[in-house]
Amino acid sequence: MDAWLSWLICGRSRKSSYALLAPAVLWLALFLIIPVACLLELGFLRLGPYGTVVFSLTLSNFSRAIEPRYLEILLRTLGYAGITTLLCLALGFPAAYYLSFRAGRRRELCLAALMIPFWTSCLVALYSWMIILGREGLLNSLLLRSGLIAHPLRLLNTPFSVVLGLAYFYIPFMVLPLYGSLEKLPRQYLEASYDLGAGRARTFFKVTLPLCLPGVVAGCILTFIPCMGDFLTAEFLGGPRTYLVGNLIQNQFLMAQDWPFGAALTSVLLILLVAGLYFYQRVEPQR
Amino acid sequence: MSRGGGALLRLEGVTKSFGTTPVLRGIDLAIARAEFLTLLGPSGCGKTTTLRLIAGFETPDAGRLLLEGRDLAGLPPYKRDVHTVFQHYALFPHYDIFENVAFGLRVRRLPQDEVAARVREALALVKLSGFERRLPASLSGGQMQRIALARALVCRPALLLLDEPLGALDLKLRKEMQLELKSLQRKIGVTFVYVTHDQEEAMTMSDRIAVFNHGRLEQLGSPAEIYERPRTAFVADFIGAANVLTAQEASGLFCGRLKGEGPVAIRPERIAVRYHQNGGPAEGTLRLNARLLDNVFLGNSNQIFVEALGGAGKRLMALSMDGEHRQPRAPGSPLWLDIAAKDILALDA
Repeated sequence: MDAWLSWLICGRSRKSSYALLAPAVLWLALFLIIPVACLLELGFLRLGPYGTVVFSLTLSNFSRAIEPRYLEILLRTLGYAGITTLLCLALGFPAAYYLSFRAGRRRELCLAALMIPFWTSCLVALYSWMIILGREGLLNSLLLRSGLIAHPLRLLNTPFSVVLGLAYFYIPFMVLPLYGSLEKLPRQYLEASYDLGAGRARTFFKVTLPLCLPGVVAGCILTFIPCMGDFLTAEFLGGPRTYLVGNLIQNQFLMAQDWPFGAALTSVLLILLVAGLYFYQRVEPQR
Repeated sequence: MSRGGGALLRLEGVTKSFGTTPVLRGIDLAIARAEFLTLLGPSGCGKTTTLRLIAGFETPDAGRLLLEGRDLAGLPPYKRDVHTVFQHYALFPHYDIFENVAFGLRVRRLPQDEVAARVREALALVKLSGFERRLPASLSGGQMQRIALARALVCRPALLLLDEPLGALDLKLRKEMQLELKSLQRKIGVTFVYVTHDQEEAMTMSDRIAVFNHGRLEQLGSPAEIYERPRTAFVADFIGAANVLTAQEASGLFCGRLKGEGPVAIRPERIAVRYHQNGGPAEGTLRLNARLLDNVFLGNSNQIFVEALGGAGKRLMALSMDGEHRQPRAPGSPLWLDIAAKDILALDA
């Protein structure tokens, strides 16, 4: 055992390197690669009676997936994910900046405040938002009592509530990479900029922002991708006009029992995201 | 060198603490126009803090800083006519060399052709013409150091601050850059305030040296003044080598033959070591009995460790260029030390 361990840890041979990688590769193969391959294959099969799958190859699921009425849902989802990402960036950048530059001793507390909602069950959070945003909810009753509005506003089941919910769930994915890149930014660059006569705004746009751009990009990717796949938020906080790709896919698997079409939709979404990431890596200037 | 009212920068009673730790305990300093002033001292003596106060990155707890008679209080770093060459250069990694050097000019909204002309001129000054399109990461340490210098000088500041700019370079390059920096400063006539902990570097480059210790300015003077007339035991010991004797040791050894009563310092090269008594000491010279402890050959000189006899006895170090001392002698050999009275430097108690 001991000799085997030392071979594994200290060995420089190709075999010991593979041995170190093996558990992770096995795990990925079992629970990611094989299921994704199955899913892709499922998209090319035909739907049989009563939700069964018939083993005959077809492209009809894919051609159906890019029909205008489904494309519209896909485009809507892109829009929601994009707006949510921008909102997270707008809210998250000042927060990350505060955490890194101003928080001082309150930093730990602020980071905990950022993470604790993230660790609570999302169902609890969604029901809480329903209570807050409902017609007789917390927000409406506060606004009514303060006299700012005469009639309760329709907040729940609107695009507003869906974007709010998505931003609420995914903002840690934005703030943490931003905070990390701001923390790594040597303060000497900022001092050099001030020293050369650049004021706070100029220093921010000419030095701080360009140097933490990798963090901005990472934050946007990490926020955008889960937003594209989210279905719970739209399900609980949205309405018929906020039906997203995630809901469509979920319905194919759980309600319509049309697994091949669900698999085709999932494949289209997956290919779109992977292609987007690949394209981004190609155009991003090498640093 | 103009003093007093003509000073470019005056520090008056500047005090600074970080938390409960005092870093500067009342610094008074006048920096003359076009001089090369070095702030010298061990780490933690307050020299870098002084530089950061001048640059505006820190604010003093008490006291004033006056640049050309104007109080700097409340002025942020970007409104001060003072630029800094940082210890690790702090070149912007996302800009090429041209844009790095042009940064301060662009802030001032100069026309494009003037920016280009001044960048070209600055790069020529530091002998790095043709590096415009390179990125900082592709430069060597010495080259980055020059670019940092060009970037700060291109804006023609009233005062240039240099925070151990040669600290990261290897010894040979450092020696070259010392001479180059000094001749550059003479050529362009900009006032340099230079921070270092290396006393040799300070001696090589400075018009005047301000020696700092524990947040106080111990002594201010030309390299020769500081070396030949150190005021305190710390200065005597920190700049060059010195045998520092407390008041008690000095009176014990010299048995009242000294004028003063305080502590003294004696430079090792000012002690003549003799193995024969041949007559008495010359006029104005004091002679001590001693015995040899050790003799270390340094190539161009010999370092001779002796123990002076008389009083409570005292270990002294002498430095001799005399070929006679190349001959090894047995430790314990009797010898005589001749020291001119003028070379026994009286220190502040």
